[in-house]
Amino acid sequence: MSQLTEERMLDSGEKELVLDVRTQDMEINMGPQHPATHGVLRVVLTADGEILTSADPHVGYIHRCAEKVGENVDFDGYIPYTDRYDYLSAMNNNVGFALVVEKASGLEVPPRATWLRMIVSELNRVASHLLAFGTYGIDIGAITPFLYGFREREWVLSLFEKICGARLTYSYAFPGGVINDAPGGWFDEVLKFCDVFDRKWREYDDLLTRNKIFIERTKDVGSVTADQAREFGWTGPCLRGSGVRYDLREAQPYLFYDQVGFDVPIGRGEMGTVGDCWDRYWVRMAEMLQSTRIVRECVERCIKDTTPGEVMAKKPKTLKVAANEAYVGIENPRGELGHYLVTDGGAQCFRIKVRGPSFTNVSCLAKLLPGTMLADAVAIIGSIDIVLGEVDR
Amino acid sequence: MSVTSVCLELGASLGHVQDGSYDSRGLFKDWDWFGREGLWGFVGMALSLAIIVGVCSVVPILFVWVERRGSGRIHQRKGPNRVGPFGLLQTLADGIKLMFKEDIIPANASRFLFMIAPGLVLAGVFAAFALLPLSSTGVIVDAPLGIYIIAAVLSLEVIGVIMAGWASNNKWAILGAMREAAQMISYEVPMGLCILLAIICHDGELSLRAMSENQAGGFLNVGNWLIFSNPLFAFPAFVIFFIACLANTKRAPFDLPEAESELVSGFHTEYSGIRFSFFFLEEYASMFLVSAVTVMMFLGGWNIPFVPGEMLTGGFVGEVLAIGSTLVKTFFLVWVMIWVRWTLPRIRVDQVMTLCYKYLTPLAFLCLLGSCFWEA
Amino acid sequence: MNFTSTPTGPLGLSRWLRNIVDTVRTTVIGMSITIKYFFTKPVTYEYPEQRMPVAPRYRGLHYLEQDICIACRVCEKACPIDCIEIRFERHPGNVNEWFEFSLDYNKCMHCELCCYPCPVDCIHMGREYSLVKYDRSELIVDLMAWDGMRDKDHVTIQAAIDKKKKKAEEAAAKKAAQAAKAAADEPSAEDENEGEDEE
Repeated sequence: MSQLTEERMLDSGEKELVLDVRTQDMEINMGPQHPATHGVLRVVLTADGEILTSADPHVGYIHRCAEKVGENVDFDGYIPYTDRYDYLSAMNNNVGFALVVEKASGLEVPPRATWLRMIVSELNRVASHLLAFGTYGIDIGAITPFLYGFREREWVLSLFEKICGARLTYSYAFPGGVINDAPGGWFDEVLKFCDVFDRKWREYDDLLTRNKIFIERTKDVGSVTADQAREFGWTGPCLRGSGVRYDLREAQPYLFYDQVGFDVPIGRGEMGTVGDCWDRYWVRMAEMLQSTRIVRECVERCIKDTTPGEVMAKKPKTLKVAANEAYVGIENPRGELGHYLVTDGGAQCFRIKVRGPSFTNVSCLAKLLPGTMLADAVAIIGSIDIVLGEVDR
Repeated sequence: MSVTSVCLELGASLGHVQDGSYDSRGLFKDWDWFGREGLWGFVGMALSLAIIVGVCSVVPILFVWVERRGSGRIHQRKGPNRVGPFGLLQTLADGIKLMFKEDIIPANASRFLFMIAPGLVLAGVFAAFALLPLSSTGVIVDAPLGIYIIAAVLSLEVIGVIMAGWASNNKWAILGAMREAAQMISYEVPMGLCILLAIICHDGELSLRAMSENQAGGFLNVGNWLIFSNPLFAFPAFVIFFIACLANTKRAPFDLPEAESELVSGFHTEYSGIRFSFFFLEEYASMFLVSAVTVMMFLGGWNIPFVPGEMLTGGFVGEVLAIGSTLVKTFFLVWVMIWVRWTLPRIRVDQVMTLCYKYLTPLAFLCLLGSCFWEA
Repeated sequence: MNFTSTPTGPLGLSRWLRNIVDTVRTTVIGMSITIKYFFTKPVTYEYPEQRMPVAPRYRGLHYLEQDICIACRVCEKACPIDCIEIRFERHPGNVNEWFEFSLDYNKCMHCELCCYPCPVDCIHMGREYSLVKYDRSELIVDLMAWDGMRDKDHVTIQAAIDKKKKKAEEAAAKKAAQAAKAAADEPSAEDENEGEDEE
């Protein structure tokens, strides 16, 4: 709609009309059913043509009261629920909850169980980042990397199936250890996977990471400085993508992470500004190589240092934890997964609070999206790699 | 050039055909395998028409299969393999399914526009098939302004897309339609420049048949193909034209109007059933069309290496060979389109304009200028 | 905060040329990778005909060794979502008359927590994973091979009942004998008592 607001004479004697030209912004509901929101995220966008003027993320569509459930089932019984908040990294979730219960109860974990936990955590990190890589490709419009990522991810899932019997919701690490020792030949297959994966990784690099169109789509998009990232409360690859070297495996080593060598990749603004979508994506890609490196070392130590079969601590049939409280944060593929546990001497949690990385990471959308284009919105949402199961829990 | 002027030219060229002042090679004038008189003449005519129409409408269905199987193999999947041998009839089965699906029209849609948009899109492409020669005589209308009319008729499709997006009363659809409009004004410029280049290099011929004939002869019957006879300028022009064609057919990396991960399904979000299948068919038909045009302009038309050009312009065997050669080359280009789609990410809407205006247009101008000197 | 999505900086000739070269180069590299896989064998399975090999530890649908199940209800208690329901009646001779050992696959999350505490190791998770049914009610599966009791159980119960009866009879007889013996040992006292009662 345009409106004549002013009419003035120029020095040359011509008449100039000043029009107040305004268009109505379009309000678009992106989600909860939308191919690029990775689940049931709903973002209410206001768009001026292709440029977004505001964004308002709405969460809570798959809230399942996971924390409340924890107050009603025993510690072992809560493990399957931890599988389900970040279903792409269920192993890490299991380990996180097991660690907090062990910290509160003082259970001693056999070393072999700890090594096995590290191996599966890192393999799960690879699987999770592979999915992030693939879906990010789809968000940007390349479908093939998704299928290639899934090809390798299926192998990891098969490895998990061999060790614990499930392909997605593992329930593998329990307070006190892990349920099963590795079956025969499992370690060899893990090492073989690491070797093959490192080769395939170069292909991902050529196919998507270094693709000019991909770089143009992701560089300088959704740049977040280190300070801003800290203000958002970001953790994990998003924070490291902004150039902050903060990795809980390094900063507050849990399990045996202080005994293995690995690098923490951080975003350096290789393609554009520091902390853009490409940097966040790149940190995930680089982390996968570090994960295979950790896995190799863990397998070696696990075979060399420990005796087979000792994977579960001796614990009573129903574990009861004396009144206590504990917090353990672990480095999930998406950031810091914190469990804060309060016990009252019963067999259940008195209160369990889960600090999900996706939930804090998604909070940036309202600040990041305005001013970008609609296609960039998809790229930004993809680059923070949220799992809605964890946002809502 | 405006659509009006094209229509006038088309009318004029058809008029020439009717009053005999233009020696039309089209309308199957030479396809007189059953004689030209009486009932047999009519049968021969109908048969010839059936071949062209059949090829043009069956081939898109085949391409859908090629795309699905090809992408499957690229992904190390198997692709459709249940219906018919190698899943060849899958597309047909899908088509039948789509035909029997409910044709949903949204409550607040502009009903009339919503209903005619898919037809308009399909008509645009199939109208252009009338001007597309598959061999020296296998052409329905050999208009002297062939290539311009095709370029103009192809733009008709854009109107259909915008119409569909607007009439759907869906925000994603209108965004898709807007993107299509923005994309169209970008790619048409380098596309037109490359067409100009081809016209200059083919001695000012605008008819695709004449262009193809012009490329006969030379070293091994390959030497006169435009990309080889003028490698320095025509080859880049061929690549630019091909990229513009990708944008024209809304194929990845230029699939912004439907951008699955951004705009849900873009302009055809609200379409279902047979109307959706029109859009689907149109995409593959226009892939075939633009590839065939590229072949005619740059890749030597129906000429085959080692086979003398005269052999391909007469007689039954020659016709079959020529049509076969055109189809093989077109298939190859279509395959490259499919291959590109399953490799590259999608580019952003402002990048389409950057690409077309800042990269392709200057390059196309450079090639055009260079070709002028090369031909002079 | 001001976030820009458009590239900044002037587009010089060298950058212009480099962009073209980069685009062409990376596109060709990408296309060579995809075409390489075009000529490799598919890695997928054609599902209903071919099935992926399932690991020995796979946690699929449950199976119950009903013969050795002692109906201790430990699995029922261990289940975090209460999807196991056990109904039975215990008969003499430790024979369980089964009514129901149902597992609701609408709820079951295949966590295997029911299998670990079993004292006789009679509930397992098998390798079958297909849960396709036409109706939700069909997902409530009764894991028992047979309802009620088997023929031999009746014999067992009868034997147990007989045994019990016999034992009771024996006990009664013993008691009677004991009583008789006691009566024989202390006749006077008893007589006195009887006498007292009568009075």
